[in-house]
Parts: sequence; structure tokens; C-alpha cells
Amino acid sequence: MNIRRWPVGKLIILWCWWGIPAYLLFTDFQMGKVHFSAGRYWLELLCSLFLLAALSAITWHWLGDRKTD
Amino acid sequence: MRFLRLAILLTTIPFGFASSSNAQTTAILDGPGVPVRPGFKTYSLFLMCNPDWLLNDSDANVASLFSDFKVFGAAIGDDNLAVWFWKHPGVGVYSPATASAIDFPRSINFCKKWQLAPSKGPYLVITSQYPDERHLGDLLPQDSAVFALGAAKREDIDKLLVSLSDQLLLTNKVPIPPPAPAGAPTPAQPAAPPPARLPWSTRLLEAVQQSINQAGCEWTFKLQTGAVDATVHACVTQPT
Repeated sequence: MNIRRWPVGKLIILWCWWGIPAYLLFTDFQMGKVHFSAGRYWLELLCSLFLLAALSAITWHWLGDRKTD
Repeated sequence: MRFLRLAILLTTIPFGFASSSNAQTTAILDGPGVPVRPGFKTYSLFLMCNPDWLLNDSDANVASLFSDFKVFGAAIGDDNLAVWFWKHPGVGVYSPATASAIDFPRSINFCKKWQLAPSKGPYLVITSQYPDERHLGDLLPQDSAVFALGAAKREDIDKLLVSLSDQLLLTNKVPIPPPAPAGAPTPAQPAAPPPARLPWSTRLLEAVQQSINQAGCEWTFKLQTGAVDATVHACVTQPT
């Protein structure tokens, strides 16, 4: 039987370091006037989404320790 | 004794810097080479382009507008900058604010680049983009508003500045020009491109942004425990 265990400390460290840039990028995208610089805001949105997706993938794949009984 | 003086000096320096930095929402640029300071959310430029305002009998009007400018600059908060161009330092402090002290060529440079007819000036131009005089575009920056003050009465100018300072202080954004009062023509300004002309990718991005903003404002988080009851709203939407 597989048991997935989540190391809370690692999760906090990972998400704090990379969640903050993602949050800042996303906030800037939300607050900006996109028609002034569409390329920049596209980049911000995509980067923030990519960061969140990468964080989720890393968390699921490497931080979800599987223990087999 | 020396250490006491040093301690007093060190304790007063930070307060001196703090008070001077907080009072810098009016930039009185008193010389041709003094640049506008960057780093603000909006810039309100008082452009004295109208040659009629350079005549000696305009001194009272200039002094009045400069007085309004100082009050306006103080009222718009630290995030916004009001800019006035004089030829030399000390005008309004050590020498009277007169028409002859106006840095006319500098204002004319802005008016020429931004296609503002001098005869309808002076102008108040509010823009969110840094007005870099070395690289001024041939049109007004997109996020900007122009107010022609040439034909306006003093009471109208006062009302306009009060209204604009409210909006600038509270929103830190370029105000939308109100309908021109009688006798105060507001020149046509290049408007932001209509949404239909924007490329599809930009419109898609705007739609995404609006959807996220709307969705972000719809949720409410309630925490009810024995000791604490708290409600967190995502955001407060402003009526449009």
C-alpha cells in the first residue's frame, strides 16, 4: 500500500521562494493596463502560470514521499 | 561634548531627510537643465505656452496660477508630482512669480511635441508616463489628460484643480477629463485606441484580466470560531 507523506518544511520553503515571484508577476499583470504593453503582460501572466504549474509538479513528483508498506 | 554634538547631528539627520522627501510632490524646476524627477505614478505639468501670458499685464494671472499649482502639488500626495518651469531659482520665494520668470522655451517644447495649440494655453497635462524631455514623442502619451486653462476663469480653474487633486490623491491614476465648462475649451487629445482596433491577443489578454479580477472579487472567506468571527472580502469593487 502506498502512503503519500508531505514534508511540510520543504513545502513551505519551496512555495515561499517561488510563490512570491509568481504572486508579484500575477499582481502586476492584474493591476496593469494591458493595451499599453501587451507583450509584457502576456509574459507576466505566462510566467506566473508556469511558475505555479512548475511548483505544483515539483511538489507532487518530488516532495510527495511515497512509503510502501 | 564632541560626542554629544555628533549624537544630536545623527539623530536629526534622518528627520531632516524624511521631511524633505515627503514635501517633494511639487517640483519647481528652476533652470533649463533641471530634469523632471522620475519615480512617480503621475506627472502634472503646468505648461505655459501661451505668449499672451508672457506679457507684463499677465503677472497677476501667473502668480495666481502658481499659487494654485503649489496647493495642487501639496494636495495630490507623495505618489504624484506637479511640475512647474521657472527660468531661475528662487522665483516665488525670493523674487515675485511673474510672467518674465517663466521658462517659456521649455513649455513650448512640450506643446510643440504634444501638438497643443499655444493660444489655448496654459495647459495642465497629467500623464502616467515619465515626461522625458530628451525623448518626447510626437503625440501625447496614451495615458494622459489635457486641460486648457487659457480661457478659464479663476473660479473654474480652482474647481478643476480641486477635483483633479481629489482623483489623483485617491486613485493615483490619470483623471478622466470632465466635460468642458463654458468658456474653458478642452483640446481634443489622442484617445486610447478603441478595443476593436487592438490585436486579438491584446483583447484576449484584457478579457483574461477582467475575468480574473471579477472572479477574484466574488469570493468571501468567513472564519467563525468560538473566540473570533472574521470575514475577509477579496476586494472592494468601485462603482464605474
